[in-house]
Amino acid sequence: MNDLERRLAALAPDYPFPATPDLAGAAGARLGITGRRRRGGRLVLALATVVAALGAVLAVSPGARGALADWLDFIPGVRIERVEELPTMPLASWTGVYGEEVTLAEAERQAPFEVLLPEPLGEPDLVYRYRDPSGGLVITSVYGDERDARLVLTQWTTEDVLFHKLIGPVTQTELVDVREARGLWISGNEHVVFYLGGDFQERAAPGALAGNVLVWQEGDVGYRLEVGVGRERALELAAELR
Amino acid sequence: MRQEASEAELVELARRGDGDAYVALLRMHESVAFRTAYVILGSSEGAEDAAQEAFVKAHAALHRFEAGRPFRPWLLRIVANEARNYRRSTWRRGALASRAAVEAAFDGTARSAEADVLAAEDRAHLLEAIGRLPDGDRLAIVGRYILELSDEEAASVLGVKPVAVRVRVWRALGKLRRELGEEVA
Repeated sequence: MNDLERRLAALAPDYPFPATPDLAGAAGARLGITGRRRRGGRLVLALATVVAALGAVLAVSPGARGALADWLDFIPGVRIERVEELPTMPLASWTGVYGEEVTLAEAERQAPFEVLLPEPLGEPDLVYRYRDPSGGLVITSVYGDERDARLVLTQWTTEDVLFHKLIGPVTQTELVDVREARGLWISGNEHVVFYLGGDFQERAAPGALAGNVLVWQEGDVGYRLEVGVGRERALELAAELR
Repeated sequence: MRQEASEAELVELARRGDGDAYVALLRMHESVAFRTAYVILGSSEGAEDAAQEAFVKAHAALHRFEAGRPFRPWLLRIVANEARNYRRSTWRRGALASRAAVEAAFDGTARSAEADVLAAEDRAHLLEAIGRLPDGDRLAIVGRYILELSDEEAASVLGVKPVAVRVRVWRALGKLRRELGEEVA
């Protein structure tokens, strides 16, 4: 080892690394496996696993629900409840939740708003269109596929309750600034998204990803970005929507 | 040897779907994974996002891990790839963050009791010079001498074959010497 190498080795204990965060715990939480044994394989079914593990009783906490509702009303079409236990619901099929599969060109032609996409990712692999009972149109762009979705972006115009999220005790929510708008960052694995279908029946959304969701509104268009990354990167992805 | 056997056992349990085993496996390597991502990205937040994403992806890819091989090089390769993907999708630049790291190093909180072993001035010049290196060279230097990665681990992180690691480090040392020379001059 020469002199420079010795100086570098001596530098090692003082190299200015930040403190290591709890990455293992965070990854475990995202995978829905922390503190309990997984029965197996598919990340895309994490939602079903969580729901099954937490039982059937819905126990709404009125106080928490009211407090949340006070500051969540600014995003039409999104209703959020915090519950002590998450309910079981049958998982809807992918198209049963997001509507019929269409081409990007069809979606762009029919949507009364500009269909935004994350510029660095290019065109989505799948696009779905759904017209809700109030006449609002919902466009969902999926990167990846039903078995391995990497990013799901949903845009809609409606003031009806469209996404109804039940948040478990460990799920974190916080207000964030998104694209010069106010939004909500929902992280942690224990939450379930319900969707009001065309037949007015609530269905559990597939929850293809581990669960971090960014919800915000620009004008009369609501956005919901579900992506398996942390808050900062999700905000950057949102900022890159064109 | 005992630790290797324990790691191998955790890998096998994790591959069979034992979530606790996978988290325990991650805990063994989360620090070096985070630091590797930090060297590539130069951002604590970015490193956290990238390493966490890599841990999730590694879980999905466990069935492709070759039993009997060391786990850490395999994991670090996924972490490094994810960090590079992250960097491509953001405006962050490693050099910027390295400068931030240098500044952080001399805010009085990062010094150890052994600070007088190496003169503070020399340490400052050394860190600044490392921060000015191209990303790949900085990773080679920090990986070898600071993180003390093995050839196989460094190869995974640098994306080269193990036999090429020493050449990469040697070239990076040459560039570092030139940086230090410019600094002295």
